[in-house]
Amino acid sequence: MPQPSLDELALLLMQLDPADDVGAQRFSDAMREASDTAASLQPGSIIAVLKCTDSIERASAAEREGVLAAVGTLLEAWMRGDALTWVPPVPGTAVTPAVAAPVQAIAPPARISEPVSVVETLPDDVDMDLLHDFIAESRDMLAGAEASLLQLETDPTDDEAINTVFRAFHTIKGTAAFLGLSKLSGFAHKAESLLSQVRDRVVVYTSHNADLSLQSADMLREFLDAVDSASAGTPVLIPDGCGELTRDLEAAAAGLVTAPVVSDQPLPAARLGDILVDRGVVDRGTLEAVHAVDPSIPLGQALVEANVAPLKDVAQALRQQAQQQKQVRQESTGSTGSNDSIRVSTDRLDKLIDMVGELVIAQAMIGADGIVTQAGHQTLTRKVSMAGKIVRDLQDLSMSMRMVPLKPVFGKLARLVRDLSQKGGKSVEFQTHGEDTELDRNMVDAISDPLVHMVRNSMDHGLESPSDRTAMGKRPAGLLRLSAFHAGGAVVVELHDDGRGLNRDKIVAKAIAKGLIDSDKTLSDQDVFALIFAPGFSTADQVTDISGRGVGMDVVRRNIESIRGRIEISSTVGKGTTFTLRLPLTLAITDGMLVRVGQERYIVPTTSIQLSFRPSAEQICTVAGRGEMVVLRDETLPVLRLHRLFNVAGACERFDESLLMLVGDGDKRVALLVDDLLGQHQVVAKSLGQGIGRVDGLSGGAILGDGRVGLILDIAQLIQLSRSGTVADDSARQDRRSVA
Amino acid sequence: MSTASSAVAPHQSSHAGKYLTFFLANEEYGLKILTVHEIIGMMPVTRVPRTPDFIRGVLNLRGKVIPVVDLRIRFGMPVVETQDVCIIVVQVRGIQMGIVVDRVSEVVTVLADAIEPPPSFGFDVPTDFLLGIAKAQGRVKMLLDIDHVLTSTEIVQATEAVIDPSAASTAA
Repeated sequence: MPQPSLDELALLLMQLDPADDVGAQRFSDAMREASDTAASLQPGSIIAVLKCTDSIERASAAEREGVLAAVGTLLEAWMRGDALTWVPPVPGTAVTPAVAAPVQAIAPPARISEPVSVVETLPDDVDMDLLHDFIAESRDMLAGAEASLLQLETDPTDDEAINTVFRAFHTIKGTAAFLGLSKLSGFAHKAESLLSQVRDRVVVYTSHNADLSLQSADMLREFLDAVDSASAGTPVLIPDGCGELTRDLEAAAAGLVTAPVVSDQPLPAARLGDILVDRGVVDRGTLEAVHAVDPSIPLGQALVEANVAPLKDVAQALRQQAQQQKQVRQESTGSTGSNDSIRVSTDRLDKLIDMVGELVIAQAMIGADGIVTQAGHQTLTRKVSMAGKIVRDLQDLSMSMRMVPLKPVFGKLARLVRDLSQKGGKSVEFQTHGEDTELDRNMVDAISDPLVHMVRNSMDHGLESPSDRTAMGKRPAGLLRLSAFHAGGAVVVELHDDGRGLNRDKIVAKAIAKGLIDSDKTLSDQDVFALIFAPGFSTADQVTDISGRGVGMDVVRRNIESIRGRIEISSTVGKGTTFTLRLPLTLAITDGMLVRVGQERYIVPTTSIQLSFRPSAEQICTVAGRGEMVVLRDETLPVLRLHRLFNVAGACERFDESLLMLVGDGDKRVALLVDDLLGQHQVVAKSLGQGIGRVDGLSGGAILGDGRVGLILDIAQLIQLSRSGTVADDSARQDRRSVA
Repeated sequence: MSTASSAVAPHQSSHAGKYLTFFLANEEYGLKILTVHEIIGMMPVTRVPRTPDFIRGVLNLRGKVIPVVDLRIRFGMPVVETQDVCIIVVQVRGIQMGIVVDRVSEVVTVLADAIEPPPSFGFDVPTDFLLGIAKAQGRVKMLLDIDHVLTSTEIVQATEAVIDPSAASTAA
């Protein structure tokens, strides 16, 4: 344990419950430690401290109140640097106000004699910047601590992991004390103590202790949230259950909880029996029979002795198992190396990215300038192209600055899986791959919730209970694999479970009952599976605590689509289900087709374009002389004249000289009439500025290659506009304007 | 400076200070210097469909897209493009906007006692976008309430009419 400072001692003293023997013991230990290392103490003072600690330990719970008050006086003198003397309180007397006063002087409001007090007040002079940094930093540290705690699940003896968690709790404790957040630092201390006991091998890291540590991390996070939402002067609400958890932690640190010592088997590495079954060496029935004869003999030995498996195979399986264990450990520890980094506000980052974007355009304009392109200026051309290369590198770099790895999200999900598997009584092996894959920060935030939903779903509906799994000849532990990788200019996040798979008939029956479809005759498996994204759809036989309330997958799809991603399902009954999310690398860049209407240019997002073609006269028909339709492959689609909707002068109106672009999806498709296609561009989408607000049919603007602003069309809104007949309204508004 | 004018009503005295003046036709207008962000030459403006016509469109201000308002159209004057036409970028309540004017003139200090309340012409000539009328260097300058010019009820109505409640959900 690191040396406690005097401040920490004072803090400990404040939080010490006089009736708490263990706490008192710990406090006196800490005091002794502090006196050991304090260089400035006179020998007389050291003796005073030792006397003091003796009386703390010897005092009964009833006497301790008085003793602690005297300790407070001693500590105060220590802080002042005075020579120390120990004045023991007269046994049996109550605390006299004169003695108690110094204690209060150290920490007026904070004496916790009640286990739970509801509020803590931020000090008036707290530095808000410092506080925010502390909160942000602590959250990061907690995320790291949580990852390490989960690692401890697989290997409870991993000292590095324990140290990581310990350091996180310790740093939070120290900083919180510095900022005057005594309750928070007190709690962090309790959480830290348990781990220090684990580290010193005083207490075994049982699953009970694992739960406590994870709960502590949660509690600290709640504390931070509470501190975050409070500003100077307003009280910080102490999260519920803090007192309870504190007591549990104390009990655990004292080693009082010996009860559920679960044999801590390394989870993710497959068990020997499973490996042998998978290899087809023995079948599960024989295996269990052999194991049942004498469970105390290691399985491998038992199998060989019973002559059901050849020694060679068992040895191979054992080697494989050892290798897997090593691999799991490497995978989990391999990437713990911390990166050097600084914090930069996203505002400044966005500004930088904007400016770099502008630089790229300015550079392009120079490159296209007549003087540069003219023959005879070869050195100038070379210089310009060199500058261009640097600018492009700069752009790549600035784009990558917004990218963050998916790791925190994966870590959060690992925690979720652990909690759910305990709650639902399912044992689950959670594998992650490619957690270092990077995505735009906003995207990472945006997919976090959908992924939580999907994992809940897979855990609840996808994976069977261990008994069902065994009955089907599967390993009792379900497999949930989350992987992320780059593919074709997009990031793919895949969630695979080896559960029961989607049941086509069940989905179809449900969809018919809900009136979503009439029959499944024409539907492919893909189409049927996509039905689970319909609002209000749930095939769970019963609603559970975890999921199945029928809200969920539709929200997931909406969230994913709102960040221009796609979600796909593939599934085999009995084998499992895979959800595939395809996400653009960044939200900032839109892939768009530049089109010309009259003298104006618009950008159509490529994702909403299906095809474009030049219609022949016989493909066009009209309704009531005005509503135009185009017939394409036995389908009739309404024609939307962009120039009419947007009042563009000088646009091409004849069908045989312009192009039709099929946009939208499902039953919301129209053929957009434009003059010409100018080519595909990647543009940085920007808002049109607050001064102009939202404009119907436009999702924003983008700076084009020539420095002008191009407008990006919002196809869904355009279609809505054309349907609601606002074209007429628009011309009415024009009239009104000309009158005004 | 304005400290000498303590006798004047607070309404006028609060408007004293430095103004950037510009011309629209033959009229000289003043903009509080603190609202002016910068002055740029005329540059290509992209028309934005389905907005009120006094919104010229949007332009690219060093990578930022900002709307541009044509004050001539805003005040119902005939549109004539002069040679000195330029755009004054103003910042009102954190929102940047460009305004197209015929010619930028100068920066003048307007004393509080040189400001008179805007006159009333009746219904025909709206004067509620004026802070007051000032005389400086022998000329009359109309002091613009730019906040009012850019965010008056007309533009609010225009944007409200454009916003479709169902559109918000598709964008979210």
